[in-house]
Amino acid sequence: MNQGLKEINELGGVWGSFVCNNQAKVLASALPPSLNKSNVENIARHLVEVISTGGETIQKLQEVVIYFQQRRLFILDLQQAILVVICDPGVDVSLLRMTINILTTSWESDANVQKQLIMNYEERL
Amino acid sequence: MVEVLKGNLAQLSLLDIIKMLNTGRRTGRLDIHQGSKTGEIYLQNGSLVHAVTGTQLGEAGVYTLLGWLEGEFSFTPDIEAPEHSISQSTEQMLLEASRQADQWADIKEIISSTEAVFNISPSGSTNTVSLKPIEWQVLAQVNGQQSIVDIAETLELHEFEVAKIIFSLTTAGLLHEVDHVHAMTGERADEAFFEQLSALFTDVMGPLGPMIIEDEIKLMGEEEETFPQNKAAELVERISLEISDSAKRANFQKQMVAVLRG
Repeated sequence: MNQGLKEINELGGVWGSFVCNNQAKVLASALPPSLNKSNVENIARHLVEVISTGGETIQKLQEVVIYFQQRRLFILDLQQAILVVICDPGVDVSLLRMTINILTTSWESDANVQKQLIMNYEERL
Repeated sequence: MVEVLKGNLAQLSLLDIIKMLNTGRRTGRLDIHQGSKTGEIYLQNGSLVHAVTGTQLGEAGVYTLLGWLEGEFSFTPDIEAPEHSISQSTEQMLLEASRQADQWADIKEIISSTEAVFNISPSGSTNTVSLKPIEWQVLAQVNGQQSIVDIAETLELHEFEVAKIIFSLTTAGLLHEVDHVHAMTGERADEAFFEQLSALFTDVMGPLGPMIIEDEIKLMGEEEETFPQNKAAELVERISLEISDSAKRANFQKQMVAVLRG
């Protein structure tokens, strides 16, 4: 998963990305050193809350974009986890969305990634 | 509420629509949209009774809207005007609008659209040019960035009036039209991009591929020849949504993302 996140980070305007489960546990990350683990988990907790609250009111909430100070947070629901991309407001959203889709599609058939996600999913249940 | 008439101003001019509604003695509201701008014209038994667009009301609103050469319109019948802001007779206004339309035909030979951007010509005019105050005001706004629409908004003038002035300044050799796509985005998508897009998309979708691309470009309000590079990824994403098989879609996106990222 880390390699995939690095690929996302290669896009212009992308600052960093991470995957966390619904308990805000970070499963993989590729973030700048200025964001320490507790900061990221703090952000993750808020985002999980946004996704779960949104999911209760909006059916099949798959993608959320949050404008936060000078950054744009692009959040994607992966069922067992959420993928968060932190980027500049001027990022090419279409290019970002396609890169994420390519990556998450490849994850669907990647046994290692699935194992990692499912294990974390089962831990939660 | 039933919309009886709906279409694009590029196919049917606003003047022709109003003439048609006037002849048919129709009552209702004509809504016009051009990008983020909107306008309303109300007719009562075929007569123009009220118009509004931005801060312009009445006759000024009608003339401004008649200057919109692109955009969408829809006519909703049997809606009464909230107020009457037009005192001129409809016949008089249509006559003036026809005169302006003839002038537009000449202007369009030099000015491609009201979104066109102009800049000061480096060679200047070979003759002595005298400018009226209004022409000077327009000239002062020309900077290679602002379109005719922008200048009209800044100076609170009709687009037609600004276009007419820019036309005369251009024919006098003081201005030249710059490629507005270049001015705004820096570059346009190249032919190689479209060739690869068409080939890869046709591989997935079959012979209808190029037609789908062409339709999507039109829906984005663009043309292939002037398609801006910064919208290339959006076009790829939009057409990829036509691919129902998610694995094939991801594969197409993967190949095109590689093209886009060079």
